[in-house]
Amino acid sequence: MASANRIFFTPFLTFNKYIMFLQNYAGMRYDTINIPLAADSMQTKINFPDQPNLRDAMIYGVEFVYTKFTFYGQPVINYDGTNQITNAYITLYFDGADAVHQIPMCEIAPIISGGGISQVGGSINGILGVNPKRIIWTKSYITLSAPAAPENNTNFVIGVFFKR
Amino acid sequence: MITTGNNLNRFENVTVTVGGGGTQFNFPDQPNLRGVPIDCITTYYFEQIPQTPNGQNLLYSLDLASSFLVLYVKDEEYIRIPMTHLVNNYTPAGGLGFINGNGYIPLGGLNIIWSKSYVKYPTANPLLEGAFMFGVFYKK
Repeated sequence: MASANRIFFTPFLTFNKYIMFLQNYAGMRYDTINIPLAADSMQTKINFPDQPNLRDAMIYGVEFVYTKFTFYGQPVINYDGTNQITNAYITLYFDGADAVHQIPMCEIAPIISGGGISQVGGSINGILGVNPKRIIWTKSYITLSAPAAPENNTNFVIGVFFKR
Repeated sequence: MITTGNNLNRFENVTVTVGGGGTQFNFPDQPNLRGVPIDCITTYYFEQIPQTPNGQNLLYSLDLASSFLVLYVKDEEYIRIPMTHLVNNYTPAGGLGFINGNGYIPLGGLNIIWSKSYVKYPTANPLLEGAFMFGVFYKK
């Protein structure tokens, strides 16, 4: 394990801790949620669409990992001059309240991308553990401090660890 | 120490507005956080996150690097910590780029008196305007 850590050295020496941390999610189901944002949208509050697949699921962790340069499979929102990711905040509704209220998207972004225009900041703490909760997705939303107005239709893509 | 995983429960975004000179900037009242056990606190600067959810500009890493967070528990000053110690986000976009590699500093469920807590800036600067923004993880 020690030599593997040296191979995958990160600038913050957190890899070892991250491996240990991820054991909390061993063998757990995982899915992604797309939150669409239309081209030229001036919205600053973007509601999550309903998630039938996750309606009865107990959520253990939420992360924002996918930017245009870490996941090429589909159009996803990307850090650029309009700071779409850095100005985005997530609110998750559970226990009858906005229990996770406006957490910066960067705070739950464990993948740090550091090259050229693909630069995206991230948190060394990684996944937001929510102490298994049934999240009401239709009452959850993303807040933008300024309209993103993307050139094309796009999505924020969130990853969730869950159990049924 | 990593304190995420299954430990955390709730999160609140807290902003301390700075302006008009002075060296002490108090927290506004936090009804959602009154009397609840606090797990940990993190903070951000402009080069990572330019604006608060309300569109207020955050202060730069240079300002953060010279500031202290002072937290009250009961009637005493309980924690006086450099703000840099609370940074857990990395930014490739410039600034001083500091980060605490230990992750969140666990506060062990302290009951913080927000109305007495404040951010300490070393010298009065009338030109300093913006906000310190904190992420507060707590249980309820």
